[in-house]
Amino acid sequence: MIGEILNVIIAMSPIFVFLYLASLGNSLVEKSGILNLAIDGAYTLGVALVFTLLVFVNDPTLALLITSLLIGLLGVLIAFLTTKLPISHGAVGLSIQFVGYGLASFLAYPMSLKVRAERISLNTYLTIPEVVLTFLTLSVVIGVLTYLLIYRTKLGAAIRAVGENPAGASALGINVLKIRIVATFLGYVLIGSASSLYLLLYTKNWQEGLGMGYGWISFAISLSSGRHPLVGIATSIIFATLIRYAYVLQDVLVGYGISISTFIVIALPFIAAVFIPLVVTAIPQLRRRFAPPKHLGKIFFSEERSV
Amino acid sequence: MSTQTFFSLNGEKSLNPIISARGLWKSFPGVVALKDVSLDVLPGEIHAILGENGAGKSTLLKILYGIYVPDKGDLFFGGRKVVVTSPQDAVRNGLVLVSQVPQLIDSLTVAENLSLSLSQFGYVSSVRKVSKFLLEKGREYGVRVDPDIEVWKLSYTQKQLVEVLRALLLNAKVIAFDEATTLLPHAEKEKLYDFMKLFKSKGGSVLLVTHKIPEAMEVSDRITVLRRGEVVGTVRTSETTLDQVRYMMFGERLTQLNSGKYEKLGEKGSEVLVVRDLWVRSDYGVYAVKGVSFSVRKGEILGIAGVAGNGQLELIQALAGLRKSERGSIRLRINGNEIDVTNKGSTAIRRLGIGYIPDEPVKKGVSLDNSIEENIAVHPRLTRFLIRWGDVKSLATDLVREFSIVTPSTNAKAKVLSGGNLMKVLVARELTVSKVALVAYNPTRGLDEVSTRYVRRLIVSKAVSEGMCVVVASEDLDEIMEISDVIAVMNSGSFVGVFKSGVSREEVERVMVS
Ligand SMILES: Nc1ncnc2c1ncn2[C@@H]1O[C@H](COP(=O)(O)OP(=O)(O)O)[C@@H](O)[C@H]1O
Ligand SMILES: [Mg+2]
Repeated sequence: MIGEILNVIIAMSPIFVFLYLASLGNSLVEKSGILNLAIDGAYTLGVALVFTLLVFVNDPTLALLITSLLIGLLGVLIAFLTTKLPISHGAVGLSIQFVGYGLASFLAYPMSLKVRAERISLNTYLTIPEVVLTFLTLSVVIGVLTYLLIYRTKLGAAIRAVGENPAGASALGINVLKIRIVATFLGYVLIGSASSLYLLLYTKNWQEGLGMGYGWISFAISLSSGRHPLVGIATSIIFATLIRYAYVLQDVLVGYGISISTFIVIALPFIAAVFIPLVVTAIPQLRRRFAPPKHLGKIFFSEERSV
Repeated sequence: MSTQTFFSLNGEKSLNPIISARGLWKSFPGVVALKDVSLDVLPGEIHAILGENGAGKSTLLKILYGIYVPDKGDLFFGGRKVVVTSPQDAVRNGLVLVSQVPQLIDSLTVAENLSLSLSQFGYVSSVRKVSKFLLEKGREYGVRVDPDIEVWKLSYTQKQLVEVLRALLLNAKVIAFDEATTLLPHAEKEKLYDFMKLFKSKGGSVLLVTHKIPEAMEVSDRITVLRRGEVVGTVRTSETTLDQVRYMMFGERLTQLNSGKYEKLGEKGSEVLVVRDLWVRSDYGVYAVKGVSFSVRKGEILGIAGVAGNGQLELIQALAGLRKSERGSIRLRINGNEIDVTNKGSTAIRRLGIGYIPDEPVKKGVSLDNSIEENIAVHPRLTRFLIRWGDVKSLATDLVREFSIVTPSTNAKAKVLSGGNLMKVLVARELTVSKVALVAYNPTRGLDEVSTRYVRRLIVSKAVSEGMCVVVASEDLDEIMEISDVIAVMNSGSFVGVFKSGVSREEVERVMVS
């Protein structure tokens, strides 16, 4: 019995880790008021980057660290563009998303040919209990730390302040750009490590388009947990279960004489990604508690009057 | 060190200004908000900056505070030329701003808010530590607020206190109040004045921005008057008179202030608005209006007096169709037809020719991201399906001229207007559409003296000449006394006294608080 539970946990942990960390990152970014539409591009790019780096350094941890740092810098760029220039968060986010998609193929595709041609064996993480449980523990610890950061420290108060009311925050003496840069850097480092772990701990190899869509699922997790790091644990478990056990569900349903197409099974987490946030926002109590930061996605003009 | 001495009087030791602005210019699209403005703030003085709405007072303060960057001009703090590009710069130089709209983040606690300003706390330090520190300091300064309460739960006065505490914690040498006292009830205002005097006695200076002359006369040592972005002059309060200051403030327009009493009609017509046993709930679900009955006749002005929060707002909102009436009825008699408008919704009610002036124009009366024309066109009586832009434009142009609304054009977005001018847009639109009745709540709050007079006179004259009936509730008893034919005092949801005009102020105040 205990063994079975452990097996389930080990099977689900990698999925939980690569979803939860990215959703944490998204929450940090959005708490600071930046609409994070670039997330899926960044995720896909992260997967490609870690793969490319792995071919060169052949050390998963080193590849993970460099990827996280580089994706973190991408976050800094986003914070700068959305805060300093009067362009919409949507335009910045979506263009960076497509740049991310494109760059991912551009970098990783030649590498994948090289790996195949030269029969390089990639040194990824082993899916053994010790490793998997270490990452699981680490990600929960990071989640708790993120919670403490957001709700118990001055930096957290500053991040929430610039997301709610940047003009007010700036009148209180906060440099909006600086705080947003810190928040998106940390957030994108998390998104970068999540996407790295997606490859290093889960797929172990790369193919065209790998990682696409998982950024959005993490986005949905963050949204339907009200961008709360601890609530996000529960939401991530739901999505991890969907991804891991959708096929089991299909089998079970067949047993009852219901057959659903495999396409739907594959799409299930994405359908849930649309559906769960909708349900959450339709429930008045949750909607109020999970309300987005007031200034999320709005352009911040530092000279705009605040009547 | 400074070669210039701006202020030197016989026998007195000459003082070097703590803050000195020289030749400031600032323009926004379509307006020059400041034209060659210079100002000196001396140590240990309360310096009032007086001017009408839109005179440029807030712009001046925001430049001193680093929120706006001037197009031209220099700033000196303590005699040193400085460039102030952010509030942090200003704070470092000893200036802290307390604004009319408390610049606090609603969803954060008091401690979280203040932590953002206090550089002695690093970014990783815990909010709990800040909270402890605030408790201590609050006790020391006699400013008591719960550091762990979220700001949205605080009253307006409490928020102002938090801002004052913040200024003290930042070791301000100069505290600037931007109309921060204008909206406060009298007793609270006095408290803040006392605090200012105390702060001054300890060597601090106060910049008091206001559009109310009595406020400036009451506490200040010197007054600088701004008119349309220019400094008219700086005078010592003890050496000037109210009339002199009024002349400085309004110039030739002063005559408009003094043009006599309102003309009132002796005989009123038939009943137009009839309210019977009306019950209305507040936002918290309890009854705020408890069985109120009254009727208003053609050309009559019913003024509702009372301490804020006794059901006036809910009553007015019910009349405007913005709040559900639980019991009772609201009826209109127009041209012999009786129309029941109880819970009929605001669109229907306003199409019948009922105007409505709410007291917070920014939240409830205009849309900031739309132009003046669009804000006029949106009214259900003016537009049904298609907007006739030509008509709207000429109406807007007329209203802008008639109400002297300061704006670059009728196409300008509402958010570029100053608060007073925004209110004028709203009042102008509502008075235009009110054919049958006007319902208003604090209709002149935030307006300067000239505009206030103008609006009141317009309301009275529309009642007289067009037979419009008016229900106006106001926290300003003077306003009620001035324009009403009948004064009803509301207390705990009921009318506790109804008086004819001519009643003494004391009489009304007595029932207000009983
Ligand atoms: N951020 C802004 N954008 C455009 N116009 C502005 C802005 N701030 C102020 N103004 C304009 O500058 C003038 C002065 O405004 P303000 O300083 O707020 O006046 P006051 O505080 O004296 O009422 C007004 O005409 C106002 O419409
Ligand atoms: Mg102002």
